[in-house]
Amino acid sequence: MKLLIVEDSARLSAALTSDFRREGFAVDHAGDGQAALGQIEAHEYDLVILDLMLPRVSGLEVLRALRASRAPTRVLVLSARDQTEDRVAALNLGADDYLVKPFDLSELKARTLALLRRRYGETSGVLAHGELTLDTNARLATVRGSPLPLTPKEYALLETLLRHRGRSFTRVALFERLYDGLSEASDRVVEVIVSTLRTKLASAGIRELIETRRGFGYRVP
Amino acid sequence: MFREWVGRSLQRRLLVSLLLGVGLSLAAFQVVVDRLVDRYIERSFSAQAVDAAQRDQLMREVDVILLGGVVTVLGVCALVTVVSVRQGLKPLERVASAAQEISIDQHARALPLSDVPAEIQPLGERFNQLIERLTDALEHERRFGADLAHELRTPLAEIRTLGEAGLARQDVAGLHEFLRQMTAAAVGMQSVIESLLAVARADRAAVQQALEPMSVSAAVRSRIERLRITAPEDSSRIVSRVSEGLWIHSDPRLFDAMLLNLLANAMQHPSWLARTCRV
Repeated sequence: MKLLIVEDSARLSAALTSDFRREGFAVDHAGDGQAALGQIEAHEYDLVILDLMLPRVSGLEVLRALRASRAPTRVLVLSARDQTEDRVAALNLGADDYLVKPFDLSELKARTLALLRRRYGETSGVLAHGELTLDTNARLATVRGSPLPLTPKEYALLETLLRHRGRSFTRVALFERLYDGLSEASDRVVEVIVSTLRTKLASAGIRELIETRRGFGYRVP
Repeated sequence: MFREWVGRSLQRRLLVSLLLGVGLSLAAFQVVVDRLVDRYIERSFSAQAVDAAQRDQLMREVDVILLGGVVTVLGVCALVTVVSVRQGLKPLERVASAAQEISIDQHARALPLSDVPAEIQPLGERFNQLIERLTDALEHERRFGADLAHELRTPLAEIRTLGEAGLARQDVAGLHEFLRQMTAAAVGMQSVIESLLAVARADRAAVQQALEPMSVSAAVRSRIERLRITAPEDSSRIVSRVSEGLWIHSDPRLFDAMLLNLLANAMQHPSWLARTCRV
C-alpha cells in the first residue's frame, strides 16, 4: 500500500511517516501543494493524507487536480480547520474522509484502513486464500489460525498479491508499491522478499502460492 | 411642518396639549358666561326690579357655574395631557420591546430611534454605542478564541502524534528523537500562544498607542540579534537585508511584538521557504 502524506508541519509528517512505515506502508511526503502535485503525477498512490492549508498550492487545489485526473486514489483530509463549511467544501470536492487536528493516531489508522478497503471494494478486513488468512486491520497473517511471523514488507507484498489475485506484478511494480520514492534500495530487494516469503509459507505448509510468470512477474492465482 | 415640530419633542407635546386644553376650556367658559349675562339682563328687564333674594340666587348660580368651569378646564387639560403623553411615549414601548429582544450570543441590533422623543434620543444613542462596543468586544473575543484554537491545533497534533507514535517505538535512539521533536513542538506552541496574546494586547491597546518616531532598521536589527540569542538554531537560517535610515511613527513595543510574530512564523515554515528578512 502506497501513501502520500501532504503536510507542511515537518514534525507531524515525520511522526506519521515513521509510524505508517513501521506498519509496512510505503510512504512518501510532500511539504507543500506544488510538491504534492508532482508526486501525484509521478506515482500511483492508494491513499493521500492531505492537509488543507499548504504553502504554494492549497490542499483544496491539490484535491481538485487529483479528482480532475480521475485517479482512483482515496483522499483523507487532515486539517486544523474544524468548521462545517470547510468539511463540506472538501467532501464536495471529492475528499473521502475528513479528520480534524489534533487527532487520535489509532483513529487515523482505522480510517486509513477503512478507505483502503473501500478502494478495493472489500467489506471486511479479512483476505483469505485457502488456509491462509490476512487480517488487514491487525496486519497479521495466520495459517490455520496460527500466526505466521512476517516482516512488514513481506506482509505488504503478500497483501498486495492477495488483494489483486490473478494479476501479475513485475518486480518494479511491486517495488514501487512497497517502497517510498526516496528509498535507495534496489528493486532486486523484491526478489529477496518473495524468496523469504515463500520459505515462510512453505514452512507453514503452504506451497506454490506465489507464481513466477516469466516476463510478467509474480502473482497469486 | 407643525406635526414634525411637535412630534419629536415631549416638552412641545405637553405645551401644545396644555394650550389646547386651556383654549377649549376658555371657549366653553366664555359661552357659559355669555348665557348667564343674557339671563341676568333678561330677568332685570322683565321684572323691572331685582330683589335681594333673586340676586343672591343668581350669584350662587354664577359661583356654581364658575366652579364647574374650573373643574371642566382642569379635567379637559388632564385628559388632553394624558392622551398626548401616552401618544408621545408609545415609541418608548417599541424601544423597550426591541431592547428585550437583544441577545448577547448573537449579533446585537441597534435600538430603533427614528420616532423616539427628542429628550430620550441622546440616551438611546448612548445605549446603541454601548451595544456596538459590546458587540465589537464579543466579536473580538470570539475571533481571538477561534484563532487560538486554530493555531494550536497543529502543534497539539504534532505533540500528540509524536507521543503516540513514540510509544510504539522500541529503539531508544528513535524514542529520544521523538522526545526532542515533542519538546520543539511544545516550544512552537508556546510561541504561538505568546504571539496571539501579543496580537490581542495590541488590539486592546490600539486606542491608546504611544506613537513616536522610531527607526525601523534599528528595531529589525535589534529583534534579530535577540532571536540569535534566544533561538540560535532557528534564527541562524534568517538572512537580514536591512536598509538604513528608515523611520516611521509607531508604538515601538507593538512594532516589536508584530516583528517577533512575523519572524517566529517564518522560522516555523518548512525549509523550501527562503527566510530573508528584507526591509
